[in-house]
Amino acid sequence: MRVWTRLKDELLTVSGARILIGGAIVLFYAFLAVFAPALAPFDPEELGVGPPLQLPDSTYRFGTTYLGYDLFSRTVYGTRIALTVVFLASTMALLAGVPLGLFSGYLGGWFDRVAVLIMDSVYSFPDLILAVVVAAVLGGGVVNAAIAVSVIYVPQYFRVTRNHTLSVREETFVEAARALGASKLDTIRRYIFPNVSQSIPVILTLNSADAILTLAGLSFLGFGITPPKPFWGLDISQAWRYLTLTKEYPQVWWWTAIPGFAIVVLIIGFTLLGEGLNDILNPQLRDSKR
Amino acid sequence: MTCGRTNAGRDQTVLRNQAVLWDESISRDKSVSRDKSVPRGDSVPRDKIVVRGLRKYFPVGGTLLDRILGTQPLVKAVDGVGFTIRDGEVFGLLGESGSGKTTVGRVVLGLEPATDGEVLYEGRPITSGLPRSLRRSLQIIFQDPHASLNPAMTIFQGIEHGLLIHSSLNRAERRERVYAIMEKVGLVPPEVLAHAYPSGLSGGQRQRAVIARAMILGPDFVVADEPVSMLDMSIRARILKLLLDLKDEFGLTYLFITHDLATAKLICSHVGVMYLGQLVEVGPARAIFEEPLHPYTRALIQAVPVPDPARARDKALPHGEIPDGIRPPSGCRFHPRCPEPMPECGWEPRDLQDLIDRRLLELAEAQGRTGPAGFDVRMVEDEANHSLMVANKPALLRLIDAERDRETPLGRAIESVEVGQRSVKVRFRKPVPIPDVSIGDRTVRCLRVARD
Amino acid sequence: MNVEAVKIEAVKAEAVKAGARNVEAATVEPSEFGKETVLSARNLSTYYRTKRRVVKACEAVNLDLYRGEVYSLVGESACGKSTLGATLMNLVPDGTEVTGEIVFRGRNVLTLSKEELRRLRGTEIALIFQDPMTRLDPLMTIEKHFVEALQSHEPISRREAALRGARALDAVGVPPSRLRDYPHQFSGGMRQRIMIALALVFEPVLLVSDEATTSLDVVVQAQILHLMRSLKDRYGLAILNITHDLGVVAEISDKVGVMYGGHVVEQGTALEVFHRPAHPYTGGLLNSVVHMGTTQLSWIDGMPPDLGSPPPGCPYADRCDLESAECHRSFPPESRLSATHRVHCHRVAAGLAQGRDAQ
Ligand SMILES: Nc1ncnc2c1ncn2[C@@H]1O[C@H](COP(=O)(O)OP(=O)(O)OP(=O)(O)O)[C@@H](O)[C@H]1O
Ligand SMILES: Nc1ncnc2c1ncn2[C@@H]1O[C@H](COP(=O)(O)OP(=O)(O)OP(=O)(O)O)[C@@H](O)[C@H]1O
Ligand code: SF4
Ligand code: SF4
Ligand SMILES: [Mg+2]
Ligand SMILES: [Mg+2]
Repeated sequence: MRVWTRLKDELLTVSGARILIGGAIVLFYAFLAVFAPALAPFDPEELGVGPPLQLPDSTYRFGTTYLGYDLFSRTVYGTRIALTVVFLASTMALLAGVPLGLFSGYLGGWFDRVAVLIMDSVYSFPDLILAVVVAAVLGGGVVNAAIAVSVIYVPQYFRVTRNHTLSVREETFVEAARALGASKLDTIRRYIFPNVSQSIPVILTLNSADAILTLAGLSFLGFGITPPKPFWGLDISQAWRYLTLTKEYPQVWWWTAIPGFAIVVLIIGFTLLGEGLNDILNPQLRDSKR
Repeated sequence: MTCGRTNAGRDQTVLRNQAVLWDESISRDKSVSRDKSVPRGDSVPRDKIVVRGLRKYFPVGGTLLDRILGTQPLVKAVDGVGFTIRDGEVFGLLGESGSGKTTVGRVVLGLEPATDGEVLYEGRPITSGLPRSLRRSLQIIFQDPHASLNPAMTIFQGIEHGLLIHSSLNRAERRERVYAIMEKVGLVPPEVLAHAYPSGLSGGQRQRAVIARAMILGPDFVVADEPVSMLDMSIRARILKLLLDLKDEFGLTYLFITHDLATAKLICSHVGVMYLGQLVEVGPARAIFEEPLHPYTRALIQAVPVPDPARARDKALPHGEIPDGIRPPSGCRFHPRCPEPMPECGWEPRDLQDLIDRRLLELAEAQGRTGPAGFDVRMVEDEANHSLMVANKPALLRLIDAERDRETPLGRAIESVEVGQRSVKVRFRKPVPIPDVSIGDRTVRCLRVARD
Repeated sequence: MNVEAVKIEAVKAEAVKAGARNVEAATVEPSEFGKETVLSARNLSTYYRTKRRVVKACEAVNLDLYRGEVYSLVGESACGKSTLGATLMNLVPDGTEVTGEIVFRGRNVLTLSKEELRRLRGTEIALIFQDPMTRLDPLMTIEKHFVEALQSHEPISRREAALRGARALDAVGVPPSRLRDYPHQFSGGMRQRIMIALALVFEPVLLVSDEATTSLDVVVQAQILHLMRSLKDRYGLAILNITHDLGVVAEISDKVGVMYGGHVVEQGTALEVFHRPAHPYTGGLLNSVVHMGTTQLSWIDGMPPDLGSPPPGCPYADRCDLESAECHRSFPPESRLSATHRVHCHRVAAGLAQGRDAQ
């Protein structure tokens, strides 16, 4: 509620503009995802709905692939997969990372040390390799891809939450809660969490941008989302394999350019949204940056 | 205030009808009723809080290795403090910033474990933490009203939380009590203010909310840690009045922490003056303010600004500032700043270094220049021997001779000077222990007072 | 507050008497012979413009600062003290509306360019705040602070800058040998001294201190006040001291301005303001101070007005025991009780008029 009044004040500023543009982009993708069946003229997973490598025209608006998939339908449906995975991955990472960070930060002691150790080792692993390993173990599919991606982000939520918790824990009002005799759980739930949670939307959106890229990378390498599921990273991967074999580039530019563009715009959308939120929710940070 | 709060709020002279905020019937811990262990003497005020030999050391800084091995340097924030607060008293804890006042308050309330020593509440030891049933009897009001309210809770939720923890009241009853206490502390109209967030209140209102939060549990002992020092002067008086009114109405006992001596003089019945983790003077407020015995107490009282330009004057202030609590001065901790120290007060190598520093300053001032003026201040300290070695012999020897000739306390504390090949070894007298002297109902820790 | 009302009556009677006595003096222009004016403000107003409203934080203020004098601004929170201090140096946020005139040693501060202002503030006017740590960079030694500050204003070698820093530290009672230490190695009082030293290296003529001693405890505070006093005597520094601690004010001030609701409602010499307060607010303020002789708590009921919607008449009317219908209608004119003592209060004005009639 308070956030909302603040938002209203800030919508006309630079960060406000960022939120508006970023939000519009993300909403647009969400719209595509919801209405994909209505918008896509063909089944995205059906072979040979058109001639192979057809240039974009009025029927095949984004052209077709070597196997005759309709790229427009695949791009639109790709939104579904992208957003689903991002949503699932972020939620899972958040549900695991935030509570762990809260308890670890507030309770301290050996629990904290063990949690930090585990999270730090996960964190220090190169992102994509970690995702590949998990995806390889779990196999393909949307949910498994989401899990693979989420593993990367758990440490981020954990770290941010824990750091925040460490500083909020020292606040006088937390001591006041102890003086009242509040239990640890109660203190975390009512005194720490509400004051830590402000930074979560920011990481959420910023991580979403990152997650798209990871998912694309994963699919590009042949893990996560597997053919014939419509996903941008997959299309780029197949196009790239085809192109390196046949050296027909740039004649079939659309096959890589359009899914690539879809990825880039969505990432920009999430990033703008995240940075805008960051500016508004963490004003001190913004001031010190200037 | 001799009667105090009695069981179950039956004492109507103290608890007028409306004023009952808490009785045992609403407690969750029915098994533990208050005051059972101590039979109630009728008119003799009982000891509410007894503190004996309290110590609290905090580890600070140090390297990673230190931290792992547990050999970090320790700040002796509280180092052997003892006092008694009787039922109905307002006991003021005075002292400069960093003297350990807040730490005493927090340890007494069990918010921080003691390193050593003992705290008794109505005769019951509470050093190892407060039992849940006592939690609500001992409450605290913090210095900074902006920091002590949870920004994510409304005023209502903040005040109500204590009831949720300790009572089995239903929603309507809780609301009734919250509104009642809000009115009591002057947060009116409660219906409106209850749903505000702390950020929407002024400093004075926030402090009232903090007071309400503490009072709703019906405590009988309250630590007020500089409750007005962050407030505007005109609000200050109002909050002090409120605290006094609440005390009278509910028979509270206060530990009132402050560095504002004028406030302490006005509202405290007893005071303890702290310096660097130790109490240097304890006793009835009136006596101490009328005739302070300890040099530090005298200095503090002197330093209080007088709101009258006609009487503004230069004061004999103690020079320098409160030293570091990691390695407090030996002997009497106040000796480096004491206006009338004695040779036995604990002079040590560091003091000679300070003297050299000060002399350098004077020289620089006299000659209108800065920079090294004849001393090479490289020193090797030797704690165990109470001695120190300095390069640059002639200048140092001259300085030492001057001190000895003038028979300054420092000069007289120098036991021997060994002039070596390339250094001077100065040995100081071993410090004598500083005794606690009882004079009437006062205790003073000072060698000079002990001698007189 | 009955006691207070009685006291205010007495105060009022005093003021009227004083006014009557000083009718002659009041007609003389208040110019202080033999004293060099450092800064004078005329009819100065500062309006903050926020998205929703205009905050009239400072309104029609007249003020003179002289060399070798300490002028203290007192008043409750949110009465515009810091705003006035910031306005005098043209340090208000962009978009704030400032009208009137500020003359600092012959230059109109309000018409100076950004660069000129920066130079002015760095060198001739110095500023110190309540929390020195916000101004000191924890990663820089004290020496580096001096070097950076000096080099940003004049071409000067490191060595020379450090030497001047040492001299400034010396002047404020910090051993110059600690030049190479970092800010966190100093106590709060020492840091405040260092801030003063940093302000003094340029040998400013005006030092503005906004609550610089508020968070310090009594002993250190007294030490710093002592320091300020000696600096003013030694270098002829003019000091504008903003505080809400009347004890501090009495300790070091030559002149006192009492601010309320954006107006300087009473100003005069420290003795005039403390011993013969004419404005009811000043009286109430003095009564609410808890000092060593206080035997009973008293205070002014109510709160200062919201400067976003200030009342049309006297800002103090809602809390004043002496208010009349006129007080709610118009802002009171200035009454001059002496060459230095000036008050905005209808009662005082009426008393003066009476006194004049009687003669
Ligand atoms: N949690 C802590 N960890 C390390 N040191 C601490 C801690 N709490 C207090 N100290 C140190 O203990 C000493 C006493 O601190 P304390 O806050 O009790 O002083 P105080 O008398 O209340 O001062 P003030 O008037 O500034 O509040 C100080 O040197 C402080 O730095
Ligand atoms: N940048 C700003 N924008 C809008 N309003 C402001 C701004 N700065 C201050 N104000 C408002 O102007 C009024 C005067 O504020 P100011 O800080 O000058 O008071 P003050 O007397 O210094 O108070 P304090 O003793 O609390 O420092 C207040 O109502 C404040 O809310
Ligand atoms: S013991 Fe007394 S006389 Fe000696 S230094 Fe301490 S306070 Fe001063
Ligand atoms: S003008 Fe009126 S309201 Fe204002 S202070 Fe004077 S008497 Fe009071
Ligand atoms: Mg404290
Ligand atoms: Mg201010």
